Amino acid sequence: MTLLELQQVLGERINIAIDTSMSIEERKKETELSQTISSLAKQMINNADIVLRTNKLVAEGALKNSAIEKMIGK
Amino acid sequence: MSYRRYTEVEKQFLKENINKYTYKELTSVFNRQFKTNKAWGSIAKFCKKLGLNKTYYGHQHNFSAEEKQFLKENIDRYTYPQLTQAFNARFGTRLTQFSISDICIKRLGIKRNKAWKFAKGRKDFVYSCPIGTESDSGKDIFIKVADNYREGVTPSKGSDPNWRRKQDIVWEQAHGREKPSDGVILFLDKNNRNFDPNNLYCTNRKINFMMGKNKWHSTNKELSLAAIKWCEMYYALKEGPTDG
Repeated sequence: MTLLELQQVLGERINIAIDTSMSIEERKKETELSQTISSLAKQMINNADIVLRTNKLVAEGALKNSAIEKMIGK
Repeated sequence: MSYRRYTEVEKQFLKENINKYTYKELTSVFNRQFKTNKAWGSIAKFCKKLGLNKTYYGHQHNFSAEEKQFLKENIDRYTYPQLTQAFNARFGTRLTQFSISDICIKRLGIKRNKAWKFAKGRKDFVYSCPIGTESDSGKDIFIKVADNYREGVTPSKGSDPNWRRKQDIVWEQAHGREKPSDGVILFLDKNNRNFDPNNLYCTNRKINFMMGKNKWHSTNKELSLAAIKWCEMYYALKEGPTDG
C-alpha cells in the first residue's frame, strides 16, 4: 500500500468516525476496525519516516562504516 | 556617659514645638538650640514620658479641595521639585517631592505632561509601509493588509492585525473561505517559502502539536499528509461524531 492509498483509507475512516447516522452497534464495530487500521497506519508512517531519514543519511554519506551497516551484513 | 537631666526650659521647648515638627526635625532643632547631641529616639521617648500628645507626624497631611485644585492647575507648569516648592510656599507646608508626586499620580490620577512626550494620534514623520508590502521575519513572510493606526508600542507582526501571514492569504484565496480562528496552515514539504496552494494544508493546533510530538513534520508531502490524516483520525475516534 502506498502513502497515497493510506491517505485515502484514513480519510474514509475519518468520515465514518464523524458520521452521526450510524447505530451504536455499527459504530462499535467500525471503531474497532478504525483502531486496528490506526495502529497499522501509525506503523506505516513511522516506517516511511525511517526510510526517508535513512535515505537522507545515505545521501549525506553519514552511514558509511556505521554499526548498523555491520548489523545488516552489507 | 553620664545622664543629663532635661532642664525646665528644654521641657518647655519640647511642649511648644512637638506639633510643629517631626521627631527627627524636632531633635535637630533641639540639638541646635541647646547645643546637645540627642538622638531622635531619646527625644521621642522623653516626649512620651512627659505625656505630650503628638498630632503632627510630618507625613500625614490631609489635602484640602483648594490644595488639590492647585495641584491640578499647576502640574503641567512645573517639575515635581518645583511644584513641591510652589505648593509649600503657597500653603505653608513642608511636604516632600514624593508626597506631592504620590497624591498627584495615585490619588488625583494626574500626571505631568512631559515636554518630550508625543501627542496621541498618527505621527506625520513615521514611515509606514504601503499595503501589500511583503516582510520576511526570518520564520514567516508577512503581507501588509491594512494600515490602521494603533497607539503605543508596535506589536510584533504575528499579533498585528495590519499584517497577515502569506500562507494564510494564499490558502484563503485558493479555498475561497476564511481560515478558522484556531487554524494553522502547515507547509507539507516543510519548506516555508513554498507557497504553492497544493503545499499548504489547514489544520488545528492540536494536530500540529501531535505532528511535532511524533516528529512527523517531513520534507515528503505524501508522508506529511498521511501523518496529518492519521492525527485527524486519532482525534475523530477520541472525540466521537459530536465534536467531529
